[in-house]
Amino acid sequence: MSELRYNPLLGEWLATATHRQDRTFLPPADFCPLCPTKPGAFPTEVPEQDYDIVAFENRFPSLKRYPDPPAVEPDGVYAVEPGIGVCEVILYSPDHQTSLAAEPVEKIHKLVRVWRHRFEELEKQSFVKYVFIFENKGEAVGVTLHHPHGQIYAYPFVPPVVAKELAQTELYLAKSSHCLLCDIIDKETLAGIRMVAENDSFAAYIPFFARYPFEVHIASKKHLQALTDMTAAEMRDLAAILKQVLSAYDKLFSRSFPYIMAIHQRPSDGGTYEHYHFHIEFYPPMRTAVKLKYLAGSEAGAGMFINDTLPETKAAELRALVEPVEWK
Amino acid sequence: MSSETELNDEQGAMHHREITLSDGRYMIFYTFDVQTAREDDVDDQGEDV
Repeated sequence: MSELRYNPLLGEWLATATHRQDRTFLPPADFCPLCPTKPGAFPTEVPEQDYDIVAFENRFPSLKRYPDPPAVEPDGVYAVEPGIGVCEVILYSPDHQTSLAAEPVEKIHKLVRVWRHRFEELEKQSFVKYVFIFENKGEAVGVTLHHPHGQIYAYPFVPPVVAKELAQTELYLAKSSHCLLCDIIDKETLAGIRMVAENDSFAAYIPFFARYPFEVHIASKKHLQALTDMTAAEMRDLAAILKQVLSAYDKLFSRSFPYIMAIHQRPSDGGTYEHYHFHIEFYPPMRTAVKLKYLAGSEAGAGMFINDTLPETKAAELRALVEPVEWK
Repeated sequence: MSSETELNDEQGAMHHREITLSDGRYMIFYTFDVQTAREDDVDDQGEDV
């Protein structure tokens, strides 16, 4: 059972998805449901012996193409809608032990191409208004399956974080006749003190306003709105800078670094979003090798983040770990 | 049920094969005929995909 309930206090939709309480939770590697099905072994969710990259509908989706009716009726201030949408899982590799950071840049490039194709396909659905590609990595951010994978949620509305960015970038454009992200990228590449990595097409930096100590944003240098606007060279450059940032993350504390990766693109609702600018945001929960950043009172209850570090200091630490990318 | 499509561009062909699982969900297998990076660098300059 899943449904969308409206929060009139915040003006936001949320999903209730009670079936997700029963989803597979941190199974041992021998019983991973995302590994290929090997002869004589238990059948996993993937009914083939090998694969390169696989996309499929989540077995425990928050939103469904053919949703059930809501469990409750709308009532006055309470609005409820069927939980329509698509939730996909993207398997990066048949190797249970690998991660996106550990994969060669060629494999990350393949994934970028798959992201683009899934974006194109999902936004064709009439009910889809926003396609959100993301990854939750590591138990520290709440993953329930360790197999290397990302996810895509195709929402029937523009989600609130992106809606806020859209409003802010539109306001900035109206005031200055400039794109906000273009101005930020110009400032960061010129100053350099918060830069982590850079290539012809992308800049990776810890933003001036970072909420997490190692929050990195990767933004296209050209004013693009979506993966579908990218040239072949830009898609390769995106793969290359992802490889650099993710590898630096893993070197930071000599461990597989947990993070949330959020790809922010224009909506898919038919509107015009020339003021918006493609970028990827990473929210790593680690603030030191042994301490996590929690969302506590001020963050969760008031929406004001407190960052215990200076972005300039943390950017220098990450920048020192970035290495050139070798294409085979 | 299964269907296969080939998407060709200057980055090499990307194939995708879709199957339907027993519970009605779709699953798409992606495979690639990838050129070397050096070949791509020559082929892709200034072209949109």
